[in-house]
Amino acid sequence: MTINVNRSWLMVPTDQPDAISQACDSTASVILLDLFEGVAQSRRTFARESLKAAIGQCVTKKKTVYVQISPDQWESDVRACVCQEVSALVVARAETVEHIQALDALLLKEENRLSLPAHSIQMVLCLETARGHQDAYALGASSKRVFALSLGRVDLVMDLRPEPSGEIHLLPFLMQRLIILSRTLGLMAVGAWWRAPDRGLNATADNTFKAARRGRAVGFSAVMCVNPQQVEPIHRAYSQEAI
Amino acid sequence: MNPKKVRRSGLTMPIVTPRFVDNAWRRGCDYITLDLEDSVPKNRKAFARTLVKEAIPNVSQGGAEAFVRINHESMQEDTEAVVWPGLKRIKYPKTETAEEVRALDALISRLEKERGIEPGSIEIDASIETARGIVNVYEIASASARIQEFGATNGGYDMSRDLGVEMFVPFDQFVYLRGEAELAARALGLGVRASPFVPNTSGSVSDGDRALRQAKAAWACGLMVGGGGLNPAVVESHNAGYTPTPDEVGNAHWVLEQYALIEKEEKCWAEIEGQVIDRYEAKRAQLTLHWSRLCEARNREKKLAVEKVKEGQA
Repeated sequence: MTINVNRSWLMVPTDQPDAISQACDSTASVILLDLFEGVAQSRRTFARESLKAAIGQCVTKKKTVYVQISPDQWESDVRACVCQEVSALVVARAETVEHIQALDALLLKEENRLSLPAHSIQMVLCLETARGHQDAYALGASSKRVFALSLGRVDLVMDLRPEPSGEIHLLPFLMQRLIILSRTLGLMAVGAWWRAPDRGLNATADNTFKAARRGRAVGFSAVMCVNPQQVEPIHRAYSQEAI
Repeated sequence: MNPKKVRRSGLTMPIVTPRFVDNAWRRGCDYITLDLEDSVPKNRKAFARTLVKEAIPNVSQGGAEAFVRINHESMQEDTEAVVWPGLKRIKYPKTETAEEVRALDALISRLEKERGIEPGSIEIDASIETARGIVNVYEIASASARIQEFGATNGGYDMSRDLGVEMFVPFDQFVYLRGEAELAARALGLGVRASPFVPNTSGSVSDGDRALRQAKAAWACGLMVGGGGLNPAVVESHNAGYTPTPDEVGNAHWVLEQYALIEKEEKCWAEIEGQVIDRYEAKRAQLTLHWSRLCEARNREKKLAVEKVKEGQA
């Protein structure tokens, strides 16, 4: 497995330049420019149009840039984001092998068109639906570009809510299943062991540290987050001192 | 999850005990399971089979759906004895393979045809109670269109014995098997029979308070299919716990109003009065309202059925 030291992936809506500036000022390892999850439906086209400027902001600050694409407008999203500065696509709601293979083919076409090295852009699959989790192994094996599996915002998408114990329903199971399958496929597992009241990757700094530390202990290698204040606790959870 | 049927509460009744069967319709259950399996001694199995045809309308008269639990070992004989008009579902214990489900499906199809029952109307409840069943869980859940709900609310006696684990412990010893079953149900778009972990270290089957906590915790997790019980003391707790409260319904209306305003402002989310409002909360609010309407309709249906019986008796 490739060793990847990008521990903190800070997701930020691409239609919000101020939020991108704040994200770039943080110590986040990766800025994950979001074209889908945090962008209102009516602003998706605007978000795509803003992407090049957003990438420019990130590059100026020497950030690694990933882009999260949508499941319903993925062709437009891919065409908007392929460039030398984008290292990876994060595929929200990854569900079918056919979809990943179609993405792979479109990426290759765009790489050729722009004279970029073939297969230079990698993929991260967000397993956020039951179908995606059920078929996780096949999805993870469906393209050589895939280097990580993530839980994304599975709690929101699958409507998983807190149990009396404080665990989020089904999450401990899905988490361990994803980690095992990632290991089997030689991929990174991205996530954290969130507990109530953490929701949709958002949590206080203290809870983020605990979730990231628990996650590291069970096999995750990096954490997606949505708030710049979560970055430092993630780094701390992955530091030698936290062991 | 898009619920179609309201099955919050149920009781499993030994069919050879007349006082249980005759009073079952009074208990307020959404369903009654007539049992040919664990509660019937081996030497009374044949007799038990002869009781099912008349027991189905008996237990249904209060508005409950009538289910029957057959024996795994005598699937053929039991099924021949239980497929009659009024039967809604056959519970198939210790299901281990998809082939078993397909065989049961074919048998039910033949009997439906022979006995003038709407084709495909009788569901199969494939109960996962062994390690082998867990290994084959997705294939089992997808083996028949008659399986409309699926999952495992807890390990149960059979599962505990098969796995060699203790039942009444203060931690969740069934994370894996319940996870696999629930994931299969969700992936296939079936009704999810699952339950959050609520400790039951006493093993009591008649603790109404605990039953209420369990049902409330399930509904809080968006789970709406009850696993039923063995004692009438838990029925009302299950009905109440799975039903949205007036406060929840009021909050759902408010969430939808707030979300409509957020959408107008071209925002994805906002925190209003300490509550996050976004598309996911809006979806949950819609589910709450839909489920509340279904529960109300089901309560009305059962009430009318009971009144009709009482009028007939007067």
